Amino acid sequence: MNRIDPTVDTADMPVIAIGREVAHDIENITNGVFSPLEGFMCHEDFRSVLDHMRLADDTPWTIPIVIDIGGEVREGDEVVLKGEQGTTALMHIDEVYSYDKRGYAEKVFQTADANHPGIRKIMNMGDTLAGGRITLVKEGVEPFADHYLRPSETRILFREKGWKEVVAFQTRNVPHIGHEYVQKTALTFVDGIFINPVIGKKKSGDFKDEVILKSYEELLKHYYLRERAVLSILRTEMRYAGPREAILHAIARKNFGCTHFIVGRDHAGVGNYYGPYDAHDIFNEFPDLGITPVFFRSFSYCKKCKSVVNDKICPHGKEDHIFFSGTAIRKMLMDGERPPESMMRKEVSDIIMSYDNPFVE
Amino acid sequence: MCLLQSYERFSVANEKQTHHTFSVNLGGILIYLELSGVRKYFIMICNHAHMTEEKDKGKYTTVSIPTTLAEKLKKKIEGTGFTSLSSYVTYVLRELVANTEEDAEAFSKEDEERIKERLRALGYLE
Repeated sequence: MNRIDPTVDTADMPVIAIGREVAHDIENITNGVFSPLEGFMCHEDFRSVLDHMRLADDTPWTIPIVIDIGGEVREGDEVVLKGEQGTTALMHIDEVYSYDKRGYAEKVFQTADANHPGIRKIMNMGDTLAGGRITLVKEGVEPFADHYLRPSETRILFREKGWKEVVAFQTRNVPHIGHEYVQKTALTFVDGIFINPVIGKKKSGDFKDEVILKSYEELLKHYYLRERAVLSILRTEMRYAGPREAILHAIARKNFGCTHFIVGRDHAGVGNYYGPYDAHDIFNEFPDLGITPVFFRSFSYCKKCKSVVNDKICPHGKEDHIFFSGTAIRKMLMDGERPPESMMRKEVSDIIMSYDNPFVE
Repeated sequence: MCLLQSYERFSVANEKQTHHTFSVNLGGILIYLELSGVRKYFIMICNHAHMTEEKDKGKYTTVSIPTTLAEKLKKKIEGTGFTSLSSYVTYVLRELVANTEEDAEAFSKEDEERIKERLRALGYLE
């Protein structure tokens, strides 16, 4: 459901400044990426999401979408939320509530380790949350607008392309050969692929948004059928919540109109906080997700098969395999070394190496 | 503790009853007792989260299915990841509901044309 009304007069209303990530949440709520949410969560939904991974009405939902402005508002207030990029939204404050930050963090991230980037963020949040409906008055002016599509737009786009089955690929990385193998394997069985990189706050050492987007543009230009692939960004922060985030990612792609969702090894993971296939297992708890997960395990380049393989299809041993380690590729690039073409397309590594520093500081 | 908190939610059936009552929750416990020669099945809604957190009271309900069906289902879930009949039934019903929900997707002609125009301008559509 779209909750957008540019005619709302916000001139005399109290204004609360918000950060870029909150502004992205607002746009995702109001343009339908986070459907069925109609605003920031009230306490009942917040608790239900933490305890049951479902909204209070039983709809699957795994990560609270909240705003920590409880100290600045009262129940019944109407306030304007305004972001630096110009995002303007009206929020009706239905509820102000306190919460247990540690409990929140441990439920979502399955750890209390303060080094986890998600835990750090929650511990720095305000002490009270506010829940209530929001109406978007004005979208922010953000980079990569040419690659920004809303769910209403992708649904029409897929329909116009004649795609009935669409597989979504979530990424926060530049593409290597393993990613391409996964995408094309999945694409073989459906009508089209929706490549949907996350653009937004990431941790230090991740690739910059611009690098990710440009490298995908180059990959698609040379190695994909134009009529079978769509590249568009999702503005949201990476939460690094592993399995719970995999479900949120799947819900968002369902809202874009996709029917299938690729889940790889250690999806949305960071460090060793989650098991490599925890993000596969969690889907067993959601028969009602409305999007079909497509699971991929490890894949590598086999020197004997002379192709990309996975552990189900190749009989050769580890000594014959080159694994697509994102960490190893990053290290090569940091050292100014070009990854071999068995790991990364030359066109992609050209793009990355054209940047003095392709990584988030 | 469990009994005291959930006594109002018991369902009791003697052996002649043909319906089996279970809770649609995340894990009920079936207790079977034989008292004075009369078999009684107590199906307690005492899922852990359910029992330990007062806030969840009222979020679960009971429905009845034939006992024979319940027995078949219990056999079916043996050795699977389902920890109870309730969790299995909840899973199946959620799947059913999701499959029968219709996607409401209605665009006005104006909206649709505006969207197509943007898609063409950005190069997504010819």
